[in-house]
Amino acid sequence: MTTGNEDPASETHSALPGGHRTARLGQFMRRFRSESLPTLFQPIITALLLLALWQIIVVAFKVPIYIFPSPTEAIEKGIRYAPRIWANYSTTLQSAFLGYLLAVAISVPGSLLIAYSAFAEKSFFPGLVLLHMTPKVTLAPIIIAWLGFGVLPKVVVTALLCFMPIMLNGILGFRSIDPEIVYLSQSCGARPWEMFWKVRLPNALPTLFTGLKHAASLALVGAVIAEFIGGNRGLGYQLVTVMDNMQTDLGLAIMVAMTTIGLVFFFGMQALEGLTIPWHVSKRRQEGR
Amino acid sequence: MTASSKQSLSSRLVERIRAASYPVGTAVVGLALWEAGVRLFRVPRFVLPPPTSIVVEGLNRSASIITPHFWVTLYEASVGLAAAILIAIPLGLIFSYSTFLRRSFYPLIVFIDEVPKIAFAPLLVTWFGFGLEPKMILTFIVCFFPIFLNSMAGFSAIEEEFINLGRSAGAREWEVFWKIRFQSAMPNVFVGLKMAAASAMTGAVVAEFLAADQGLGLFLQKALSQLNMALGFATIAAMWVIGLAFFYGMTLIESWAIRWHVSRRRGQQEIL
Repeated sequence: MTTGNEDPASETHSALPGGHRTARLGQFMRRFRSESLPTLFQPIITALLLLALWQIIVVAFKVPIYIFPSPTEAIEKGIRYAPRIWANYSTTLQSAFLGYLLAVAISVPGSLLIAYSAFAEKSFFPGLVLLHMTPKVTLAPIIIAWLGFGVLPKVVVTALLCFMPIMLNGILGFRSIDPEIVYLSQSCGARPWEMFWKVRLPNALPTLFTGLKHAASLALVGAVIAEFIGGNRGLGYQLVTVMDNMQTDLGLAIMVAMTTIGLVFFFGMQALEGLTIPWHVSKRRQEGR
Repeated sequence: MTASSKQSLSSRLVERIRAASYPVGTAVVGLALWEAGVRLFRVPRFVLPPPTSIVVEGLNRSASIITPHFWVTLYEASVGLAAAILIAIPLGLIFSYSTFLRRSFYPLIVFIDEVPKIAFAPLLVTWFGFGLEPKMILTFIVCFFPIFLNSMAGFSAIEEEFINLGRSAGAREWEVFWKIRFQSAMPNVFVGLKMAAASAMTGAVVAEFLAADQGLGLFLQKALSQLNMALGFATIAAMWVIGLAFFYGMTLIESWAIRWHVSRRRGQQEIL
């Protein structure tokens, strides 16, 4: 078996270093479907062994539950508190989703503007690249100071984090088109809207989806950080309060719940990508083999 | 010969200045609009201070208050990043040599990478208290995964032909490792290093937001709780200095360490 995780083809589509992480999960899932059974079971067996080891160590050394609970204790607590976790889960999911939508609604038209207008590109693009590198999480306390403790500040922080990957990949996608394709369609008499709808947009979509998937993995982070700082609901808030009470077992259960939100986002975008640009996804799958 | 190259150099300089005039112009116009808007509409200072008062406030307080916190945050982030580099790169190398380790752990690590790392912050604070340790450890966790995964990919993705060529040219085993395997993995390793460098400061600051007795994250919270927005913005600027210094520092090291790499050539520089 080759490691298979280094598929340079999919990485060249990304404008950002962070695109690699989502690419990795996607590649892994693709391989997951084509792998033989023993190879599939090996990581599962490792996971079970590690969990068993964890359980044995905690029980044998009588580690206090508030320091490090055993997996069974965390699972038990998670099930017992499931209704409360679920209530916060839906709050966080909602904030992350709305923030993500806001980012998409601003950055996709924005990337179009920059890709089509030389003036806008020259004026804003270098600033955007610089802005992408500035840590936007640092703005979270200010946004909360402005907007209070409701849902809105979480939505804005999430949008702030998701904005740049979509924007930069969108610009890259809309800009990088083979001129020959443009010439060919023009000499075939394509009208401007046909040019956009049938040539430029489909050409940009694979790159745009790279940005959308990268942003999808950031949406949860934005919502959770905002809830850490100024929340009265949501998984981030619940995690902080639970840990203040030293309920580490419940804390671990909440972290697992958070992770599933991230996975929901990622696989949601993956599915949408498969529906929107099946021609590209299937091509990539063949290359992966 | 020299004259023509000189001329092209100066014309390139003019070209650069012309290209830079657009973003600089946008920034100046933006700041001017901010300043004028805030003063014209008498926006209260505790909502949005004008840029000039942020600069004044920042300069006034920098020596006495901001600087000590700045060093604390810089120290936490540096230690966390350094620990991640020292552990993740060798571990990536080990994983690249062992198919057994890769098969057993790689899928698990990919999934653990999907856990939002900042969610460890409350746990670390509970375990390690208010000191510097939880910040360093959170920075380490944030930085570890991109470096490890990209190093592993880099060390694994070596074309056997190079190694065979090196061997038939009589290279010894350590030469094959050092001159071929290590060198050709570097571009990938640096992808991970740059991702880690970009987020190192974030790890330290998020942990400081939650519980700290010093550091810029704590200071920002304090300034905002007193509704001193100008000081808050100045603190954020100090955080950005750390974040950008890490990222561009790493980019500099990269361009020195792997001058030969394709992505360092002009064409692909456009995006980052």
